Amino acid sequence: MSLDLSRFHATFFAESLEGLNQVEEALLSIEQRGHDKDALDAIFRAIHSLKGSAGSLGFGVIAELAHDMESVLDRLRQALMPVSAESTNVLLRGVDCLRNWILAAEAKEPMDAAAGAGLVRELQLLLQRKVEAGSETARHAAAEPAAGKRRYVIVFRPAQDFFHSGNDPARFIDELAQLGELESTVDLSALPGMQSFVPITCYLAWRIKLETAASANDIREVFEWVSNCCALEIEEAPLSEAAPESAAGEAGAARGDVAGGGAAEVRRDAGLVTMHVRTEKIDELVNLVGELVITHTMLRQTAQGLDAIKDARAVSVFAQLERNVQDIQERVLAIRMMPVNHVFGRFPRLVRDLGLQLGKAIELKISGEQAELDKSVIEQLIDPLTHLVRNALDHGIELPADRLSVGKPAKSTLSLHAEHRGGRFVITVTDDGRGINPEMVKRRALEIGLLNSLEEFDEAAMYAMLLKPGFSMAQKVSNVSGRGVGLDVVSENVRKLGGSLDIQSKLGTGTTFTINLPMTLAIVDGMIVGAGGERYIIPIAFIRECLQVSSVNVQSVVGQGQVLQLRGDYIPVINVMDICALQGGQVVQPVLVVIEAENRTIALQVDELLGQDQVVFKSLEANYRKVEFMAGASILGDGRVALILDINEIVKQHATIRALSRNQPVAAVV
Amino acid sequence: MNDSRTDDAASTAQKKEVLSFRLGAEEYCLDILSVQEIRGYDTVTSIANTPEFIKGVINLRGHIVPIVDLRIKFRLSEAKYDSTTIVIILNLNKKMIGIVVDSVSDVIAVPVADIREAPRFGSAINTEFIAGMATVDQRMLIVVNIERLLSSDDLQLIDQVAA
Repeated sequence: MSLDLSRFHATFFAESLEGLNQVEEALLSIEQRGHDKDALDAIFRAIHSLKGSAGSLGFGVIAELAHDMESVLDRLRQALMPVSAESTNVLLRGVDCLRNWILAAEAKEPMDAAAGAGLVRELQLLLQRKVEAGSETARHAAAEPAAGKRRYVIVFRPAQDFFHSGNDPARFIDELAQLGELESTVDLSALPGMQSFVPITCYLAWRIKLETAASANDIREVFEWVSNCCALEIEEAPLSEAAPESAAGEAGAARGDVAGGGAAEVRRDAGLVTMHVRTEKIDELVNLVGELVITHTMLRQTAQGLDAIKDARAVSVFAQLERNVQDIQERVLAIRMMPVNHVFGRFPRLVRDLGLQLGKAIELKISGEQAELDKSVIEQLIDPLTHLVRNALDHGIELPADRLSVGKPAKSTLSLHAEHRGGRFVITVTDDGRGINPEMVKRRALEIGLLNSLEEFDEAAMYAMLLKPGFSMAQKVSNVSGRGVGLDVVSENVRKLGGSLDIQSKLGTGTTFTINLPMTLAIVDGMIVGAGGERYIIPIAFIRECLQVSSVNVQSVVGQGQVLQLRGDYIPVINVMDICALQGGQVVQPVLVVIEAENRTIALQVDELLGQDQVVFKSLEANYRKVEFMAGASILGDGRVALILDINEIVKQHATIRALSRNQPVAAVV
Repeated sequence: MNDSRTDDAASTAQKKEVLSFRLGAEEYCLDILSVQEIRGYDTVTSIANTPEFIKGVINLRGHIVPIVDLRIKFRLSEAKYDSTTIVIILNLNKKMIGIVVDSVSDVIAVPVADIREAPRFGSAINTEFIAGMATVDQRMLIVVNIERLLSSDDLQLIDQVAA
């Protein structure tokens, strides 16, 4: 039977990669905590099912390597072989290799088979060696079950959609045959007539008599990776009687047909704890809920005239509606939330490997990994966090000898912590390393010309310096960090997510990086401003301060527009009306909003500040196209649209914004 | 996508349903399948640096939808905005666009055979955007190829569709 297996590939890739991540995690935990039967069993099962799926989907190379890893794991879990750094290393590299192959297969690229050959050799070496060492126990363990050879009657009834998942029943029967002597009969009773026969439906069932030294669990294990799409009955039968049992079994099997199918159904339902939903569907839902909230606000405004006594019923219904709407909004936004563990989960491995490479002993402490954050934010956190962790390992944490000499324990601690704090999401990366030396930062800054010797250099200035582009403390370039693309990139990435990066460091004690993020990208903290009769939104993350024009010094520079003189700095002033080509009259008290982005500062002049709000970010490109200087749009409480200013673009291109010939310059308006 | 649906409709009923609307004195019509809804004109949020006929964007149940005033675009009638001003919301290539017209008349089933190629004459809308002409009950209708109109160079509201 030829089936197009490719449509199962996507599922296989996703499941296998997930499985490999779990294996990696479990291997690392075993390395730290020592032999752990449950964890080893879990790893064994994961690799076993990977082997099974890979084999049946035609990824022979993957199946072979998985097989060898499985053999080693089997020894480990039966304690025939001690868990050692060596075995963990080989297994971890095996995981890497499998992952690379799967990724290559996913990208339809050739797999690097050579990478596996060395690993297979190492695994086999490991096996041989340990067989010698553990032969005593092995012989002992093998001898025990051999004494009692048993007979099992196995009814294997694949679900009707068994073939849909790319499985071949013969494979399992072959595998059973390896356990002992086997006799199998096919049950054709479910086979329909030719008219209603569907070739891709599995109508067959098998009744297998097996004489083996293996246990019922071993048999179950053979069917492990199809356990959710078949019904399996294993009965132990005495060795002597065989014939009468089989006749009764036939009838039982026919009856079991219905029951067996039902059991498989139930089991599959139980497995359906999570489901994949397309992101667009959720976004659509978020959209509609946003709309519901606005409609509700408008309704509430209409209902304000209700009399609390006369319209008591209506008032209580409105209160009820308000609660329901809030609940719905919270739940719907929660759908997009994922535990931050998706990012944190990759660090144990990174820290272990880097620690070995750098010769540093590091204990990684992760806390708050269950805290949830919007999926889109999580994905974009991976790079900045990886950077911070590498940075801490390379620069922050000292070598064990250096640590001992200053009276610290040789093993250093790196903590990753996540928590919700006042509607924001806060992640801290803390090391107990050497801390940042202000003198060295100052010297380095002077060296590369980011600082002139006259400038004041305090703690705040030092942290600011660390975030400047091109600043790197590394004396020489290593492959861990210190390529000169440094903290400024992290800071910029975090800022793009609407967040901020803070540094706290104490010389000799350690450094803490704090990333402060909004809970979601879909919602922006915005300052609503009025200009020329329209309303615009400035994301609060960019705002440094707001000033009354009348209270500060704004000057005209010929040919250069307006300049604000603020604490010794000259900041260009741009009128939002010019950005938006609006014609407006004179305003009594215009306001300057000082914004900072891309390491530049400018002041935006607006007519008035209308308030702060959390607004739902919407793209203008969905139905229209990109609009110059606008990041998107949002819908305000009254149901009207307001545009969100693209601060990055405005800061970059502010020189191109030409002031309209308005009669009076800003300073004269006062 | 639209075309195939039109073909289906034509082959089964041999009639094409169109929505007729007025711009000044002329009566135009467009394929009913591209119309999503008809609503009153509401305050729009203007967008900087756009031609005058792009009035701005509105909030349509959570979607930001641009509004084009065809009356300004074709200089057909004085663009007044009051409670009777009509916006036709179109759904083209999965994009929503609103067009402002003077009034909407009705939905007419035009026999496909009756739609003739437009002669080269001076209607306000360039003949390039006219799919054909039809006469129903002594009324002359100009069938507009709205997709081509809205994807034309100066509007560039939707991605170019295959002609």
